[in-house]
Parts: sequence; C-alpha cells; structure tokens
Amino acid sequence: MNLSAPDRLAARFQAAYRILLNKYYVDELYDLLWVEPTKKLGLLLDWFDRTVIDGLVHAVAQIAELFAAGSTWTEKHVIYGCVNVIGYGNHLAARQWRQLQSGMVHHYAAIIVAGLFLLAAIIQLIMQL
Amino acid sequence: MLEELASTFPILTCILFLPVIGGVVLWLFDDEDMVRTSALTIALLELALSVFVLLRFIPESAAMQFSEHVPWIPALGVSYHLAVDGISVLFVGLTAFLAVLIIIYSWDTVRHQVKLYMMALLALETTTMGVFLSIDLILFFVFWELMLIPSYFLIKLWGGGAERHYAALKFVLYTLLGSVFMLVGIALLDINYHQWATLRHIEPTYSFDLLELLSVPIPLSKQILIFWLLFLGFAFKAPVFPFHTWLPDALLEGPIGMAVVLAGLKLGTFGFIRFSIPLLPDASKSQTVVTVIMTLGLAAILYGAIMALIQQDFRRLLAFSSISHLGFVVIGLFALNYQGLQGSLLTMINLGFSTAGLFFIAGFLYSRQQNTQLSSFGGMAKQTPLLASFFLFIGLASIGLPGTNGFVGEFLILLGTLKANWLYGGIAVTGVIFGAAYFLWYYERSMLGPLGKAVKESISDLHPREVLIAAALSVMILWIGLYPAPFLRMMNGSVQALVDRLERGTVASVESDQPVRVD
Repeated sequence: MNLSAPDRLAARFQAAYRILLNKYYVDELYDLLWVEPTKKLGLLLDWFDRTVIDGLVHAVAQIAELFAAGSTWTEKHVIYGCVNVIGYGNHLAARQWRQLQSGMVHHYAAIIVAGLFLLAAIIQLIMQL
Repeated sequence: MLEELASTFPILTCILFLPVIGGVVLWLFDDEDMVRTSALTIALLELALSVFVLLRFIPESAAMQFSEHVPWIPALGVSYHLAVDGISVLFVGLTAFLAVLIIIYSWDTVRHQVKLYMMALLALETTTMGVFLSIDLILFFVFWELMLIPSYFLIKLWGGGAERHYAALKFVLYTLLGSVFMLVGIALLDINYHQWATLRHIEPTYSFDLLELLSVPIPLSKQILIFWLLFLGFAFKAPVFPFHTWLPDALLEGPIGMAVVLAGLKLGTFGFIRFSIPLLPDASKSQTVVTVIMTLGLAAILYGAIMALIQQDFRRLLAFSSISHLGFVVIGLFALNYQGLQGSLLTMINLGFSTAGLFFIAGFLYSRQQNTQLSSFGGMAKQTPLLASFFLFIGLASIGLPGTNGFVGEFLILLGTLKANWLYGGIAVTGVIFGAAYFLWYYERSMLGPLGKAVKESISDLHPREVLIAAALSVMILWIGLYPAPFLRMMNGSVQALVDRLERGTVASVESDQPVRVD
C-alpha cells in the first residue's frame, strides 16, 4: 500500500473523516430543524390563505348573491304581484264603470246635477273646517 | 394648530388636473406613437411640477404648504382644500416618478388600445394625486373612490391572466366595502365637529376640513368607534392581514403598470398617518387598539414572509412580500414614537422604489417568457447579465441591505418598535431573516445555476428602455440609502408635530390654545 498521509488518516479514522467531510452535518441539521419545517408551514399557510381566508371572502360574496336572489324573487312575485293586483282591479272597475256611458242625454244631465250637489257639499265641508 | 402657508400660484391644482386633462387631449390623436409620446410628455411635465414643489418645500416645518382653499359645498362644510406637508409631499414626487416609468415600460409591452390605456393611466395618476393632496375629507373620499374606476378597467382590459375579470371585480368590491365603513367614520367626525361648533357658536357649523377637525376635542369612546371605521377603510386598501386576498389576484392578473401602482403607492397606510393617527390620537394610543394592530402587523410580517417563501410565481411572491413589508409599516406607525413614524413614512416611499422596482423586473421577465412562474426560468444570469444584476440590486434593497434605502427605513421602524415594546420588536426582527430567505432563494433558483430547460436560446438582455427604468430606480435606491438626510428633513417637522399631538391628545390640545391664567 502506497497511500499518502491524508488518505492513510482517512482510512484509519473513517467515522471522524465522514463527520469532517460533511462539516459536522450542521447544514443537514439546519435543514431538518428550520428550513424544511418552514417550507411545510408555508405550504400549510398557502392552503389556509386560499381555502379559509379567501373562502370567507367568497362566503361574503355568496351571502350577497343569496340576498340578491331573495330580493329578485320578492321583486318579481310580491311587488309586481301588488302592481298587477292594482292594474287588474282597475281593469275590473273600468268594466263596471263603462256601463255609465249609456249614450242617453238625460242620464248625463242627472249625473251632472248629482255631481254638482256633491261638489257643493264637499266645499261646504271644507269651509266649515 | 397647524400653520398654513397659502400659495400664490395654484401649483397643486395644476399637479392634480394636468394628467387627466392631458388624458383627454390624447383623445385627439390617432397615431399610436403620437399617443405614447404625448402621454410621456404629460407625465414628464407632471414630474417637473412635482420636483418644483419638492424643491420649494420648506423642510423641518410642520406647516401645510402650497395651500389652496375654495369653498365647494358651503352648506355641508365641504371645501376644495389642497395642501402638502412633510407627510404627503414625498408621495407626490413618488407618484409622478412612477407614472413616468410606467409609461416608458408600457411603450412596447402594451399593444392594443394604447390610447385608452394611456388615458386610464393618466386618470389614475390624477386620482392618486388627489388622495395625497386633499386636506378635506370629502374631497379625499371622492378621489379615493374615483381611483377604482381606472384601476378596474386597467386590470380587466389589459391584464395578462385568465382570471382578470374576477380579479378586477374582487379588487373593486373589496375596496368599496372598506370605504363604506370609512364614509360612516368621516360622517361621525363631521357630526362631532357640528356639536362642538354649535355649542360655541362657531360658523360654519359643519366641516370636513382636516385642519378644523383637528381643532375640536373628540370623546375617547367616539374616537375608538371612528378609529375602527376608518381602520376598515384603510386596512382593506393597504391591505393589512387578514384583508389581503384581493392583492395577490390583482397583482397576478392585472398588467404590470397597475401592479406597480398597487404595490408601490401605499395608500392605505398613508391614510393611517394622514388621518387616523392625528385625528384620533387618544384612540390610537389606547391599549386595545395598539395591541390589536401590533398583532395584525406582526402576523402580516411573518405570514407574508413565510407565504412568499414557497410561492412558485414571482408576482405572487411579490404580493406576499408586499404584505410582509406593510406589516413593518403598520408596526412602525403604531409604535407611536418619532423613529417609528419616521421609519414607516420613509419605508412607504422606499417600497415605491424597491417593491415597485421588483414588479418592473417581473415585467421584464414576463415580456421574455410570457409568465413569471419559476419553472420558466433558471440560470438566466448567463444569458441576461444586466437583468440579473438589476434584479439582485433592487432585491437587496427590498431585503434592507445596508447602503440601500430599505435599510434606513426598516432600521428606524425596528428602533421605534423596540423602544415602544421589546417583544414586538423582537418578533419583527425575525421577519427580516425571512425576507432575505424568500428573495435569495427565488433569485438562486431563477437566475443562478445551469440554464433552465424552458429558457429560450434567443433570450435577450435588457434593451435601453428597460435599462433606463432599472437605472432610475437604482439611483433613487442608492440616494436614499447613502444620503437619506434630504428626505428625512422634509418629513421631520410633520412627524414631530404628530408625536406632540399624540402626547397631548385632542382635549388637551384644545385647552392649550386658550390663555393660561397665572395667579
């Protein structure tokens, strides 16, 4: 065997040689203790950010959409419903009132006279107040 | 009471409206190169006006300078009141500076609807200037809201991502929600003023003017309510953790120009130092408020930094890095001492050079590889040495390496925080380490080592326009880093006035205006 001094020493103290070669495994220790856990934590937080925090934001949006759907339904069925009731009621009333239009002059004259009395009565009432 | 120096020439009005009027003039041109040249000319004129204001600004003074005051809606006490002081004057310069760089960057990277893009950008510049220049709270609110319109279209129409419509809507709705709370807070401030003015027969009885609102006492319970209402408005915009989820979307999906504005101009934290802290000093230093906000700030620093560490997309990384940096700004502000406030103010300006600068770098990367994913890069330093060098330099400023601007600001913040509470300071320091880790790790993987598989052979280094942008930013970074005195001198007067105001509170400051009886 014709090994140089460093090789001889390395062969004799193999364990010590490996520890020194790997710089006492300080880098590996740091990786294990800090770097890898931090990366894992980062991935966890990324999931948290996308799912939980942004999830809450989307939940707020969905609640708003739900309210919008609710008010659309109310608009369509309740408010339009009321408007339609008024419209249809008018239509029905008009059908009845149309019959006043008899085309006979003395009917109209009677209605005018009745109207005059009504008007006078209302004016009287207002003056008293 | 703050002194006011009126201006003989309405230079702030010129600064405010030059971009938007210039934007309308652009409408006349059809030739795209003509549009670009005119937009650049307008932005350069605006920069010249801003530099003029910076040069004529009296440093070491707490006075409101170049003030212009015209009644607008007298019945409601709303006025058109513009002024700059040590808190806002640097932002005016920064806005004008970034606008010029964005137009230079957009020269050949924005290819469709160039005219509309430039008009939106100039409109955005006006509204941003309005936010910084307004002293009247309603005027401020008007610009705060108007800013959303050009922002929305910039993200929606010129964004690069597939989700840009979603991002634009999310950004607008998010900010709008916050500003509704803020508007209620502003109304409460006005009502408080009204009650006080009516009792003392002071005309007018309504006012939204910052200087007048500063002169009346506000009961502590009311201050705390108003504080949280304003907080929501500013925290959504800043964004402060956990109201930040619009930011990564808007930065990733929107165009680079918009990202530079959103990441470079810290409007939310500006709101805190401009309105919340001076108007509500007793609330700002109350135990609960300080604890909650410090916790949110520290959470943002660590959360943002750890998130940035694992991001694969450079723009998403920058979004979380922004959130982390904003955490520093917030804890500096609520350290509520001279160094903390000064450091926060300087850091807000610094981020306009470093974070905004990194977004320009992201833009350079984007125009070479059509995305900013880590998998598209690797070993770029060999092919694009200039790009890699500027990337490293601006990145080191963002980490806060001594000699760059980031160091000065971050150091002052940490000093102020440690002075206020050593525990907060101790936690914040760890954020600096994470900051170095996420940037250097990303840099190593994208720029160093063997050439990435996805990197094109024909990839080109920075062309002259890009070098101009990176060099301009680097000059500012070095200037503030090596000789921050001129910048700090501009802030000092106003920061000192703010510290005094915090010590006295609203009630005491009113009493001290009255003559003291000596028997």
